[in-house]
Amino acid sequence: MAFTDNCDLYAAVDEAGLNLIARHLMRQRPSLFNYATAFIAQYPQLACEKVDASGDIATYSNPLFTVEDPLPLLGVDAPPVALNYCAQLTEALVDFFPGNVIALPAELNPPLPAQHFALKARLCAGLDCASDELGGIQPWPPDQHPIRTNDTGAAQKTPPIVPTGRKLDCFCLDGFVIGHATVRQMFGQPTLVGEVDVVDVIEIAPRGLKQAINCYLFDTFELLLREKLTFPVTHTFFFDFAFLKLPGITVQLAPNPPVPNNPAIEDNQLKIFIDFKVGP
Amino acid sequence: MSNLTVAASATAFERMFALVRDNLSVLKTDNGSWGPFTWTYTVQFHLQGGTLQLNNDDTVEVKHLDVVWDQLKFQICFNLPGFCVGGWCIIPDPFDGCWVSLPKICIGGPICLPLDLSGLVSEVDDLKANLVAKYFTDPTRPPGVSDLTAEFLNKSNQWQVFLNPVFVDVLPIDVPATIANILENLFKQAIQNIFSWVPDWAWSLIWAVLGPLLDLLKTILGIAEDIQNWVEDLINKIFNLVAVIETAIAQYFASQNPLFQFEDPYPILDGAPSHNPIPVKIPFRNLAAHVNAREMVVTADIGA
Repeated sequence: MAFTDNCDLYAAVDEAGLNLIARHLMRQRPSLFNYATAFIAQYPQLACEKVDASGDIATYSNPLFTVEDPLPLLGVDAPPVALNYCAQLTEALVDFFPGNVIALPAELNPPLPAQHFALKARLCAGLDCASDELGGIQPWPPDQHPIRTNDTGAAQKTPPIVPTGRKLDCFCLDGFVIGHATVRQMFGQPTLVGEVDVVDVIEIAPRGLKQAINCYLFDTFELLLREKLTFPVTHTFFFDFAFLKLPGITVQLAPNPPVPNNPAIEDNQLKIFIDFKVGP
Repeated sequence: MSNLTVAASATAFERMFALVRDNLSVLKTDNGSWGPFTWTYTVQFHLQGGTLQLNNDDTVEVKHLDVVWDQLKFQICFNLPGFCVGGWCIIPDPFDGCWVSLPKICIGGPICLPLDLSGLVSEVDDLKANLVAKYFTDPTRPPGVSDLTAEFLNKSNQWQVFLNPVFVDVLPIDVPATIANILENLFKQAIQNIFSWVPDWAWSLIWAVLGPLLDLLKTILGIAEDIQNWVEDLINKIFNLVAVIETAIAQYFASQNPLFQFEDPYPILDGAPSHNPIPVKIPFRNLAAHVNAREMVVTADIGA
């Protein structure tokens, strides 16, 4: 059977190739996988794990981290105090159906279901508790209201004090994701997107905490994939074949039937089947 | 097994081929001499049509590819043998000499016939090729720079897949049967243009002396055969336009215009100028392209 028996164009990438792509992505766009406060971003040696980045990141002044606000201490507002932290995804491994690379935890009901991918990610996070530095923070007098106003009378939050103990208390967890791939029409062109079905982080108790963390990671992965990791099909898989850009040519997914799963995740590969149409 | 497999159906491949075919335009001029005359030509052609077939022996075959001659202009120059008319006495002097004589008109010397056969269509009967993947490194790329810096300098490496002709069979160019009349008229016109100072009364004498112009032309140029065959031999064998087409097509498809190309490493995520200026690029290795009777299959590995 030919690859294009039911379509005009076909592309497939296997899991070994995708894992190499993931590694390039993590080294060339580290700020997608490393989040920290400005202080940690300024002193990356304080992060839980050394960020493995390509030489071009430094050459072209790309960030290692996406900078986030410090973590506020709840109820502490006179003065407000917040803590430095970082969160990093340090390893990622993808397995396409049938599962043969990642041993899924029992909570995810292995084996990997048909037409799905599994992702194993190592997540590390750390917090600068800076307990020793808290003694130097003097409470404001009782008459000093913590909410101030600016010149226009609008409420203005006082920037928090961020004590720096210069040492993070770090931990790492293994997270597992099961998801599938879909093609959406985004910005006028068919675009490959990963969608998350279920997330599980092992070694966490009690059950409620585990559920909350799984839920947080589910939402994060789902939206991150949709916002930051989308791949226009003709560019990513078909090298922008020149004829696909000719006037009157439109590209669309091959329909079902005859292609039952498109994109398909099978035979340890991600496959995509495309038709092109000529004319209006 | 390769990390990446891309396939294009015969229909898609035909589209790719058509785009490359339609971009071909060859312009050539040349000159030389053959026997009693010299020649120059300016030709320009493009390709159109053709029926494409993919074969299981890893070849692509295109039959009946039209060669459209946007320009097929040539000129042959030779020496018209000199002769004179007139000069004889009309009113003789009864004692001696001549009171009134007809002026003596002498013509002869170099003459050129410009022939324009633009618009003719000839044919590449069969073009057979295989696919060849090549890695192009810009020779002007500064040594030691990263792939990304090379991209910013517009000197990226490229993977290119070419249609590499194994053979090109070009049919000889046919000229219309009316070529004899065309040449005869051109010859007459050329004589009149060059000797435009000749008075009207002399032309009937000149034509009478020259006799049938086509016969004269054949005599001057040493043409023993049919004039149509002679012109075809001139174009195909002396100008060697068949070889010009073969060479131009072979070079064009094999090394000048790839079926497709892409930069290596290949960008899969654009840079964002405000926060992540550099793109994410993936290196490709071991690119190979093949065909079978149903499709083109391209395979590649992802570099570490």
